[in-house]
Amino acid sequence: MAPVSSRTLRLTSPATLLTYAAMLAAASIMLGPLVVMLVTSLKPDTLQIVQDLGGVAAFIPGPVSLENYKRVLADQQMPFLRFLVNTLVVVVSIVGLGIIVNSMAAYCLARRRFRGRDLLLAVIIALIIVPVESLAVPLLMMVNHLGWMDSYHVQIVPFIAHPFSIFLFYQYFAKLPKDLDEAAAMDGASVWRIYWSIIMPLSAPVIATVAILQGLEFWSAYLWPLMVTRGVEFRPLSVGVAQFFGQEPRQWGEVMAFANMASLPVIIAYLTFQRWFIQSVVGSAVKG
Amino acid sequence: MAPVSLRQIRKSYHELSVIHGIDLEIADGEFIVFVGPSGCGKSTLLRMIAGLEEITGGDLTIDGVRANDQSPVERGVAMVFQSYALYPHMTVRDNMAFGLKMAKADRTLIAQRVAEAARILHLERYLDRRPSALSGGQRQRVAIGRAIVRHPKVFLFDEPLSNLDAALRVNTRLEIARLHRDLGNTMIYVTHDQVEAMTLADRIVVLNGGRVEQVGTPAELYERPANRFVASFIGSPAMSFLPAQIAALDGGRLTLALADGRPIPTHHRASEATRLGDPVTIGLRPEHLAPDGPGSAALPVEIQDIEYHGDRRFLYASAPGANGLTMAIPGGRPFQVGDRFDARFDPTALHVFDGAGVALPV
Repeated sequence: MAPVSSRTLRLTSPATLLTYAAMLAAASIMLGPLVVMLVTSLKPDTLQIVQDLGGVAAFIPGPVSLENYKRVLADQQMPFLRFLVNTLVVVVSIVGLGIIVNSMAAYCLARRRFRGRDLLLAVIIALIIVPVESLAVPLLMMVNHLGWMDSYHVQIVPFIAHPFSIFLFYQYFAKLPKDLDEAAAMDGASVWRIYWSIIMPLSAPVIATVAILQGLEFWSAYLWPLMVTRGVEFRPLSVGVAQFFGQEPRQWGEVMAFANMASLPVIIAYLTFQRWFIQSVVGSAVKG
Repeated sequence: MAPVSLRQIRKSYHELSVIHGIDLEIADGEFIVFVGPSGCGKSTLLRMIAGLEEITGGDLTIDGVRANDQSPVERGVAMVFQSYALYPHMTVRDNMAFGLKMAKADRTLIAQRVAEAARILHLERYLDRRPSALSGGQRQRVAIGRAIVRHPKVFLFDEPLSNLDAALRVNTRLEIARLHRDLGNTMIYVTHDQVEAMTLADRIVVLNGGRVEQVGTPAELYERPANRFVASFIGSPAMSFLPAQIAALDGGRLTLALADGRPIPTHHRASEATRLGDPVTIGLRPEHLAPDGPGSAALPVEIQDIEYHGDRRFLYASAPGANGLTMAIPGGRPFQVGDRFDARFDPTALHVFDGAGVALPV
């Protein structure tokens, strides 16, 4: 019985209560805007919404209506589905091609011995701390010179190679036993075959980690898509939300419905891959 | 099946030389064991034969063809790793078939070879399991099966029993010996366990510091070690050593003097460099030193420790000028730590090593 009583004591100690209170407060701060977003998007009366947004009423549901969602989906000027497709094309391409390219780079760094390997690895790790914003202007000049503006590939190609993903793959591959590579080499497998048939099938955890982290990063990317897209044809959701928000007169119910639908795929992805997502954040332990 | 020839094989990592010019002829169908302490270069030498390590210098010939620049597959060798190195995401069947698939072998042939290997290694029931669902011994058998299906000219084993428990190690050792009898292939086997070396090998290669100390049959190495290193490495418990001096050269036969001056006539002959008064080392196997043996020579000892091994006991004793003398005795007469007596040995059974550790001829 002793362990039970000590556990009870621990749960009701002042320090524990304080910890739970702090966690509850933090959760409320995080969840509050989401609740307001959902509740507001379901209110049909614009005047009522404006009145409610100033106080606690913003959290309290009124009569439920999907009118705001219908209007957002019917809007020809700000085509939600177009933005969604653009985002999906960009994110899926970056993640898919990124997994191949970054894992191949990491495999070479982890397994092959060549002159300058350590320097190259150091440079790649150093690149992790360089923010995209600092590269945006020279990169813009380059893609403009190439005539890539306002396209999918201008949003995809510059971000396929991803230093942090290379680093994650490198760390994972370095821990895989080299005996596996050597056994496959003894079996007559080429370097490509070893990478593709032996190493990659064993790398599901790191592939999931990279996919989740890269997917989230580029789902919400804003600055670069804003700089390189001019019309709605190639614009992603992140820029679309801001553009929708900037319309006058501001229809808060529709803004919230738009934001809700833009967040929904990420929330579904999070709930589906929650376990891997937590593992990835813990595993990477560098970048949140 | 194929003979393997190593001529002045060397390996260096930048300035660091680890294999210093090894010459070795391995006959067709022979079971050769590389043995030596950690870091002696035995695994490196095996990996050079496998094609997993580049050969810095010398010539490696497999089945009469220079193999230095060939890939492992071109060399016709298959290797069993210490860690098994099974592909965790594949079934036993796929693990064994992988090499043949890489060689683009016909499906029927692959199925036939896998079934044959599974039968030889009693793995038929496990073909659709993943390695994680197998015991250590079963995994090792799959690793051997993966080598068998390719019908290689030469089998290479890199400490294949190290990860198995004691009972399983004995069983798997017997299976490997049976496999060699059945297949008749050339096999090269690396181990640091001298029991494995003694029981499996046709010939043993004792390596030390990247050099060959001695090559010979297990009996040759045990009975006629070429130097003190081989004498101490082969045999368990190890050979005991006593310091002595050359006291007389009677018609070419040496008489030695122990630390207390006691003379020991031997049947060893002096080498050209041997001089009267030179320090030498006497080597005695545990079974050649006994409390009341038939030998004509006597050595006063005091028991320091006793180990019970069921069928026999090992007495660890000290003598004038020497510690750690080992005697292997059958059960029976009881001994106590601290007992003193004259241990007896036959001078014709002892080994004599000169100051450089080289065995003096008989």
